[in-house]
Amino acid sequence: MSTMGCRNREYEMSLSLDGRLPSGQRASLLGHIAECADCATTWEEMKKAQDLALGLPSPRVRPGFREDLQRRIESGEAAPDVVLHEPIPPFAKVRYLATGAAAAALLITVVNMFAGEAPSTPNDPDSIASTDLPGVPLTPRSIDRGIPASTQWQPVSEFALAKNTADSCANYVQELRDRVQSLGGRPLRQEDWQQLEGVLTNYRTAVGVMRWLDNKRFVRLPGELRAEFQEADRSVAEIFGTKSLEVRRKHLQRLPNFRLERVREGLSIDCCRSIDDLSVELEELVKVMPDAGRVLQFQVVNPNNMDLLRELEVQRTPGAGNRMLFLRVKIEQPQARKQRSGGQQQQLQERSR
Amino acid sequence: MQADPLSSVAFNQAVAEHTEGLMNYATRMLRDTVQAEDVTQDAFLALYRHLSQVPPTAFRPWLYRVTRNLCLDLLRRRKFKLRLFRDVSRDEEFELTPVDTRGDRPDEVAETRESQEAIEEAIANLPTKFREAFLLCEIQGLSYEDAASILGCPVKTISTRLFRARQRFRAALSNQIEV
Repeated sequence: MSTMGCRNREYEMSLSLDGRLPSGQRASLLGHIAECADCATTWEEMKKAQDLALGLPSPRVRPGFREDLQRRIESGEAAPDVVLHEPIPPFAKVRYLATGAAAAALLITVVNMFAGEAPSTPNDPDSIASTDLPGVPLTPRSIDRGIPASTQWQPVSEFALAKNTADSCANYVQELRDRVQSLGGRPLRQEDWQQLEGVLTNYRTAVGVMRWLDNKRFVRLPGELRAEFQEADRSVAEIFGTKSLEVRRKHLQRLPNFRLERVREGLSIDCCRSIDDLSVELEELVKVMPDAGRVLQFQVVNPNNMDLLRELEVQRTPGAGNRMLFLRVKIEQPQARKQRSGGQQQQLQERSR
Repeated sequence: MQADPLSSVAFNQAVAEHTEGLMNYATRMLRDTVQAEDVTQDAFLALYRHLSQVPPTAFRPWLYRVTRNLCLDLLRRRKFKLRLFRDVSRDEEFELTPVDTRGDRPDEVAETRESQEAIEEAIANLPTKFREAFLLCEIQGLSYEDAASILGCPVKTISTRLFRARQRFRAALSNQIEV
């Protein structure tokens, strides 16, 4: 039977689908779903609706898209003016004027004139809805137009790009190694991850380009380049202890040292072709990184079973792409897990009274 | 002046990573694959022109923001054109997402096509603000924060709009998802 509380639960379900519900609330929600038939139905329907939306095939660009883009860049073509600010419909401008905002601006101007200051320019209506993205100063009036092609991007052969990128990979790996060594061998903590994040991002960008070039067959990496790239990959894996894992939620729940938690940084793994026993592999991982409190996030590559992934609480991480899903695992002390599960059990018992 | 090699690397990576997503988003905003492709290319062109101002970590929300602005501009001009030239008729029967029918039986093909059309229709019929949040967060997988910066609203507003969009989407497809 639906109640006022059930209506609130629906919003929590929506948050939960996006990994935005704190773990305690999520546990409470799942406990309620287990007891309320209506909410259980709603939950299943929400997941199914999400599957339908995500199952839509994506339209593709035609062949030659990239070549056309390159041609436009090389020709010096400017970007359309409208890209940098949201177009304001005419009636909205009229409404703006009618609300007296312009009159207020005029008043301010007059006051400033009498105060001896330079008049301030009323806000341009076109810029009202323009909000800068963090760290990105947008200047609608400063768009380049007709820049001579000679000053533009010089075409770089794919081989040269691959060579530069492989060198970049090696440089980033060295920088990562140096930074990790500077930590004095102590286990990495969350704040350490944040320091390394910038370098990791650059490294991943370079790796992505290499893989893209290779996948597109734009360049066959010669032996020494491929070796250099693979060496860089291996070094990073060695630094951060990447392991290949296959995961299963039921096993996760049984393990005393692990629970699912939100994280911000982690390692990539290849995963989820089939269900397998995780406990042995995670215990091995604990040996590699034994410090409790570590929170690991694994990127699930090529997922093909949404039900399984939901069962594993694989969720999209803020900033991740549509196809990029993440499994989060926290290493914690057994005592902390007992206390928490005891608390949750008590909560469930109180609700059922 | 030659572009910084790393910027070119990052730009190439952005093209590789985001073309499909932007094309998907633009197509559902415009319901026209040809215009969507033009808009997607314009967005990358704009990114290249502003590479020095946009850090690589901000490429994604920046691209979606630009794509949205381009789509809104086209939609506004499209509406204006319809008002000005009353005899303009649009052919609404186009296939957004071609169905792969290789090896399928005709009845299965028809059923899949009908099902996909219903889903597309359900998305298209969402109120504009809900649809934008739905496209960005549900379909494209952007975070609430990124969607908020793209749409120029608070994060809480995004979560509410997405929730409402999901409610309506589910209601529109009740016959397909009934448990």
